[in-house]
Amino acid sequence: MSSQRPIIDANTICGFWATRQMDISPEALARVMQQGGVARYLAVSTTGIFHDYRAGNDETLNLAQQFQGMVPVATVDPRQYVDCFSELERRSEQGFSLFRLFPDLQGYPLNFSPLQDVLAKLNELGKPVMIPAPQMGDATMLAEKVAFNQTPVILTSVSCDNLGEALSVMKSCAQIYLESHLLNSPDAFEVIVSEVGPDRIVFGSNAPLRYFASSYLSVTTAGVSDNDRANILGGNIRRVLAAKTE
Amino acid sequence: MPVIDVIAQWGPRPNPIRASSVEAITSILQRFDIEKCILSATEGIRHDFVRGNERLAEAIDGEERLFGYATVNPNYVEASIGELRKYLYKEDFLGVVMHTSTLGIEIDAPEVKDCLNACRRYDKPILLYCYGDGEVRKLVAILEEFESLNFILAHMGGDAWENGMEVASDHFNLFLGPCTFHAARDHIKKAVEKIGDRRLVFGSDLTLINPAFVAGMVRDADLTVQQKERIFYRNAKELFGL
Repeated sequence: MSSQRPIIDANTICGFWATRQMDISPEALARVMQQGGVARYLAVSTTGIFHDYRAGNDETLNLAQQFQGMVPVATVDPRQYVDCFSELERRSEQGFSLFRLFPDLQGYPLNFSPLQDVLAKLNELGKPVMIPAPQMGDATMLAEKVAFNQTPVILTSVSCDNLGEALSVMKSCAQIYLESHLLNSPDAFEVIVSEVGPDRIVFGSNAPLRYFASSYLSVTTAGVSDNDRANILGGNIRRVLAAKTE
Repeated sequence: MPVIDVIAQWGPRPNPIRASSVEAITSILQRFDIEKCILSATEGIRHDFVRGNERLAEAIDGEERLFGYATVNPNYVEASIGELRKYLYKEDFLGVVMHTSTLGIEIDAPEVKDCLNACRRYDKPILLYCYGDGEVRKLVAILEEFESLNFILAHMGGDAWENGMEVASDHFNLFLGPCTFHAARDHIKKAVEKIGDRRLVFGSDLTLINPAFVAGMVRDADLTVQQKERIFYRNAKELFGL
């Protein structure tokens, strides 16, 4: 049932996880991706999330040179206001094709002026961004912040709890996409495809923190056409990144 | 590999989920080779438990794959005992469900104990939805006081899933349903290491959660085929006497 076209996992991380003992090393990630038949995986180093985004982005870049299939994703921390903008420019020039933000892990609210500025800067640079919207109200707030942006904004961690809200913002903001690792209701993909079309869902697993097969089987068993499934599993994110994963 | 799904619900939800009818549920069960599914009524959990039980009984009547839990509400002890009498002698009602966290009642409240006391005569498992460290820790006293009853902790206690495992490791009358999206990638393997492979029972939380999402957790867990078969099927078959 799975697509014949290459699978791209838009949501992976690697490095060290401090709050519980877990192997999320780049080797572990590569293993999970290989077992899952994933051709390309967009990865960010946890060093950049929890310690220092500059060092983390360097680390991600180096790892992507060592691990076949890994596509580097950059991050910044808007709490470090001012300096984070030069990092956005630098990583954009280096060719990073996606940026991720982690308000949930770094502890800043979505209603946070530096975040608004970072989102505006990424839009100016023409770079897509992935940001979590796990709670009710998050997607609405983010949609207000990016209402005038042109570049894609990918919401991650949307689940059965707030899918209705995500659908509502997707209807009013064509640049909003959904990453799939928590799209866990029985007919989530069918509902999204029927309400906003098949082109704005991108497959992600949040591996190796989470079980790869949970998100993967949810897509492969969904009642959507083979073409839509193939786009969800890789074609859509490829388009978002403007073929820079080639 | 056949599957028995012991944690599922029937009825409308406040989410954009269209697959909520008996027909839709049956079609999902066929798609995932789920041989039997034990449902509770969403109406009974969040609103009127008497009406929820009644409608569930009508909905599953004559449906080969579908079974029911009788919902009790410890805020209404006498009526709850009446519901046990009404449904637990029926062949298609296999257990009792109690959502203490949703009802805002503590798991060790006297009213909960009154309901559990009444459950003793039926010898059927009790599905508990209680979340959070404090509530899961309070379960210890309940498991010890009601040692003759078997309990299933839905979602392994939610965000307190590690405590759920801890409590289950010392109490052989507690089974765990591994469906939780709070958990990390290794949680099923860790649960097997902690409590063995005989007290984990597959529960999807259908129709809120896609069975594929939970089946993927078991499929990816670093376990033998026999252990996975126990979790997907055999443990529930034995627990519910199916």
